[in-house]
Amino acid sequence: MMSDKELLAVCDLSHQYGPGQIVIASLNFEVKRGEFLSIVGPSGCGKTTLLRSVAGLQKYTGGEIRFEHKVVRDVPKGLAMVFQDYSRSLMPWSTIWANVELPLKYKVGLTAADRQRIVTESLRAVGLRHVGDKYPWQLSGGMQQRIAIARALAYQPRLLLMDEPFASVDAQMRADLEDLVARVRYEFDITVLLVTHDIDEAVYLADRIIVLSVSPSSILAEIKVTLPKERNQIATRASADFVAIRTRVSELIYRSRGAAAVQPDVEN
Amino acid sequence: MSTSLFKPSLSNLPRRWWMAPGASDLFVGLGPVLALLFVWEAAAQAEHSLFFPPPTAVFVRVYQLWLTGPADHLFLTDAAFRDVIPSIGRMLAGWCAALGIGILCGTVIGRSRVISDLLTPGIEFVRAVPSPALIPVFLILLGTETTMRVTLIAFGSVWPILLNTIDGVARIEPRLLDTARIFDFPRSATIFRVVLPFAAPKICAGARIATSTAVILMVVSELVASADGIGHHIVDAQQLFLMTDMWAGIVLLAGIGFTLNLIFSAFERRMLRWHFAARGRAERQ
Repeated sequence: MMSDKELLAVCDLSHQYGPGQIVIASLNFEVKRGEFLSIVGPSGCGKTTLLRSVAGLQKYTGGEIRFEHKVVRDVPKGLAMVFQDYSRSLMPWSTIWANVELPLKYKVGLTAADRQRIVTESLRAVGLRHVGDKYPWQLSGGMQQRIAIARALAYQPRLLLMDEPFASVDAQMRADLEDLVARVRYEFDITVLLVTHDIDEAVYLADRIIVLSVSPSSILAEIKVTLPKERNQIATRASADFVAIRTRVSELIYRSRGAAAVQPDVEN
Repeated sequence: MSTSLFKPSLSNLPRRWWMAPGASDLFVGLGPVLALLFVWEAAAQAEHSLFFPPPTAVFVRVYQLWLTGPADHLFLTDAAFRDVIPSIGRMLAGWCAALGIGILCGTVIGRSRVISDLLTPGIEFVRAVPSPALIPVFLILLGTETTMRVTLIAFGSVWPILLNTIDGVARIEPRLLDTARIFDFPRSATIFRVVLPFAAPKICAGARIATSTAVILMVVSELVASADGIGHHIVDAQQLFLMTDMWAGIVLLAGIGFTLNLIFSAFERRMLRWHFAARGRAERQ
């Protein structure tokens, strides 16, 4: 399934932590340049393992992952990642500006003036241009996550990986962050691979969704999101298309969980 | 603020970076010290004991012995250049060596699970040797000169720095290492921009403990086979029955230890501002 637009290809990927402990059974999918792909699945289905394997942070035991047609063994160049626990991925001893700028210092071919311009632009994009000289711990959780996003944007990655990026912020902040990501992906023209257990979020943001089963995970369905490019928290979520896709994904995951769903304990 | 019930109101004054933790409490804490000195003074004046001269006499002696030099020597006397400066110099040299070795080895050991598993039992064993017990060994190996004394100070004060560095480095937040790998930091940047800053609060705590160890070993090393230094001055005065001179040496040591701690605290507060501020914020939330 090689194509010109292929950026990332996952072929027959499997992973087991030990004998019999299979987390990922077999996964096949690709991410095209410029696309926003959501991977959604129940908790504990190996989503984070998958994303860490793609990032080269973790070894996988079977199959192959190719980024830009090269097999991923270590962290490939040109990636950025936004973690769920944002507060732990920022450096508390550095200012916001220094946090965003630091990765750029080790990118080849950027002058100090380039860095200045890129950092300013990224902080502006997340609406935090004025906090450059503050420290991460002086900001709220949502603002810290925006800084983590700004740092990823500044790096100008060819693929942005997001691991449950909005799972630890409140609902209102989550909606704002979703809209932020939906906007900057076009503004900065980046490809995004998002992993989440939140079905609404997966549908709201993506061009395409891959639904995973419970562990050992396999692909239950691949769904093209036929919503208009412009998304809106109220209108999009109320649209018939959105509700239909959402319901379908929910159904798939619900059925996959089957016996795993919480039942009251039977007392005898 | 409920703590104000238990703390003197002075501690609510705004705190500047150059103030040691509790520096504003210092003036309050001066009360009991002055009271003690007053009682001692009265008792010594009444008793005229040869072994316990009054504190005023001791302080006057400190001044006479070391601080009545010419202005172009910063008022330091020849005795100060003979006893005090070499002592402090050796102590700082030993402490700096301990700091360098401790951080370097601690980082290497703390970064690798295998190396730390291999070396930890050995380190714990060697550390258990009381440093003064090594004086005879060092005397044979290194002679009676500065090298031996600096080595002893370095040997004794390296442990808290080494162990704290190992611990601080090993506890590195995995998410920060992920971040460094994802953004393709070179190895040196991962160490100097991520790992060491993360471990800095622990390393500083170790270095602070090491300062007092260094002062102790500085004196101990000067008690044997020495020709100069504050420790030598104290033994010498004792053997010549110059009790006031002996006490003056002890007071001078206390002053040096106290001043070092003050300087170190100020430095620590400035360098780890982020740490104290972030921790203070976390506690308030």
